[in-house]
Amino acid sequence: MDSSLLNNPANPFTVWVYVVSYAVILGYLGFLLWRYMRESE
Amino acid sequence: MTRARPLDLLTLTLLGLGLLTLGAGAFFALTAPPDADQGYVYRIFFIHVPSAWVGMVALFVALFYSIVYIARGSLKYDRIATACIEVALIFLFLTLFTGMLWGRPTWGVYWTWEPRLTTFAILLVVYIGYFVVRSAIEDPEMRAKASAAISILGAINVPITYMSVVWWRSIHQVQTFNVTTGESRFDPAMLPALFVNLAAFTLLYIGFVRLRSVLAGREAARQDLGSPVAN
Repeated sequence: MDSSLLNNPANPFTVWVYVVSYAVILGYLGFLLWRYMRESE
Repeated sequence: MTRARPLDLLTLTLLGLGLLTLGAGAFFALTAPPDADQGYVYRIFFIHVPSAWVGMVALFVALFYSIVYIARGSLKYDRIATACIEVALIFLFLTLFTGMLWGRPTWGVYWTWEPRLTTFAILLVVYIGYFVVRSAIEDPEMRAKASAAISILGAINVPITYMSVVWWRSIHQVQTFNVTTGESRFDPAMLPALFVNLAAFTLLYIGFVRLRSVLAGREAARQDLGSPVAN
């Protein structure tokens, strides 16, 4: 793999990892809270 | 119209602290110095390692509660074990995803059938099977017993997966940070990002399991036609 990719702080592999990971964590938290609110009513 | 009952203070605190620490972890991770060999791609480890750590710990906690369920017979413990495994699967899929996106630029492939990845794939299949079995059994007692059996037997593969990089040397590197011995292959300048993210993922894991367990208890109570939470 060329070093221009590895030396790019905004390389697509790292960017996708962070975007998807935070989306999954926040999405799961939101899903649980939504179910909790619905269950509590 | 009724208002939703607020969550208990400990769960809210864990989730709030977890989110704050996650934000701090993002800052440390995205400002960590580049690696001599892997450049900036190694920053994926700051998500990959904590999610793998939390996923495997969650499976051990599920093992503990499954054994407690078998010993005491209370469905409350079955619900906690199930919550642990659900949260574990979320983090283990993150481990898989982040590992694949790290593997492509460094190994040249997203996936290869080497020992760590193969044992990890078996681990995922077993715990997906856990939920398949649960959905197929209607009787709560029978469902809990079958689930506990899968959780106890499935946990055998957790240490095998963890140690596979040492026992069968292959393309996957040995643990970058060995949580059992504290041995680190990270440069000290990279450790704050790792530790803050480890703390964030651990706090969120505990908060998720507490919230999911409360939710499962309420759903069980509702299914019991409004009777108090079973057991």
